[in-house]
Amino acid sequence: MTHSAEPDENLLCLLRGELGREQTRQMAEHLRECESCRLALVDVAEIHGTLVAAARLLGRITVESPAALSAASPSAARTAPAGWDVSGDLVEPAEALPPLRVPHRRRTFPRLAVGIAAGVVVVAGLGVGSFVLTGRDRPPVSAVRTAPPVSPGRSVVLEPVTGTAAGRVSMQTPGAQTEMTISTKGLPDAGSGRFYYAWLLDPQTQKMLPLGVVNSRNAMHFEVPTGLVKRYHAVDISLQADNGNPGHSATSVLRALY
Amino acid sequence: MVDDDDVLGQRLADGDESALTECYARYGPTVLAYVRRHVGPDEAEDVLQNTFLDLWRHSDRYDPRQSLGGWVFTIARRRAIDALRRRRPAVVQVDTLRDLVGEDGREIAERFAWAADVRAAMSRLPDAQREALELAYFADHTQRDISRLLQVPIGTVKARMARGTRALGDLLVDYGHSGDSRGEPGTRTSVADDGGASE
Repeated sequence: MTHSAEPDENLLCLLRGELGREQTRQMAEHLRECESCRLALVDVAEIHGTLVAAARLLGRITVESPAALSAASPSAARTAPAGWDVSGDLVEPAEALPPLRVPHRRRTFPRLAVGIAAGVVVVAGLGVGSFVLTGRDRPPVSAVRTAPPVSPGRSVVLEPVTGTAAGRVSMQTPGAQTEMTISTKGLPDAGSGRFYYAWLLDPQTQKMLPLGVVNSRNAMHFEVPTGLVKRYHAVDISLQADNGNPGHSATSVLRALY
Repeated sequence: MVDDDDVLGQRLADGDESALTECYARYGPTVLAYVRRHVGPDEAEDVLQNTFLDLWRHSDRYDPRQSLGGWVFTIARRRAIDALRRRRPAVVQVDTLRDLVGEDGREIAERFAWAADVRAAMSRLPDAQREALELAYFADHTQRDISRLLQVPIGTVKARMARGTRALGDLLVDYGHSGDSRGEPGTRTSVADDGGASE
């Protein structure tokens, strides 16, 4: 076998198993003799292997519809790859990517203003922290899920995130305010210089709103505007160090989804 | 026009929202496949959104020494682990955890990052070449099938695939996936254990 005008074409056919028996034998014979074709084979094999591996991992999920297929003949449509909808003229990818919830542009909110807003929310406001929220920290508007209306009276169980404590969050909504009662059981003593703190949390965006200090011995009551309660979906109890840092310590001990 | 990895990462770090959208288009399908494999279809979209939200929130931490894809999958892996941790322990399969944590987890995430970069590089090929390679590799068609599907001579299919393969090899150099034959170390795509997306 001699060099063809396009050696890569035949090398790719060889690797893909698209040559006949005799062509394969001739190609192998030629490769034994021809160093330049052997080197070319290395390059082609590398990309071929890369594509095979990527396809094996991803399957058909990212195959985009070829424009030609949409205009193809009925016979082409009949033989279109599985996973493509060829029932009509349109050819769709097997799976659609959900729209990205695009965040707002970055904005910086004054520390004081956010602190005041938090202060209004927290009735048992001990050690209410203030946050500096940037656009990246703020959830995208469309990411705020429409929560089911908070019923006049409901209760959710606080489950342990770390440790073995438990608890309950009861919510009463007589009007525009939701009365939230947090009771815990089995919370160990926080220790010197540490305390437990309750937050409203949106697990999807990690957005948090400070509620206040939680006492491990008594139930604590918070009054929160119902509109705010609806914008969050969980109550989180964290173990905080009394170090002046107003943010969540990242040590959650209890959490309840509502 | 598709930006290359470094430029896209830098635009992201600069807070360019359009870069986030491009990044989502480039890596979103692969991230979705990756997280669906680990957390299942019900939670996959939430983990996908959280991944890109985190990417946005921490985009100023983008390190150009790490591939953008590797970084995206580092975050995706962390968010998938978070999703599993939130479940009751009894319903998390041991195999699922093994696929996510430790060396196995990093390697699988790295493979997905690599596959995502391959797809991103393919999207930069001329349409005819990309189409032929996609049909051949991602839809498992023979060259003869492709010739029939696209209604072009088989020689044209062979030529498009050969040119596409060569061009893809050159494009993958940009993503650090080339082997020694192209003089590149091929080590940029790595999924870090500590990828800077921590809470």
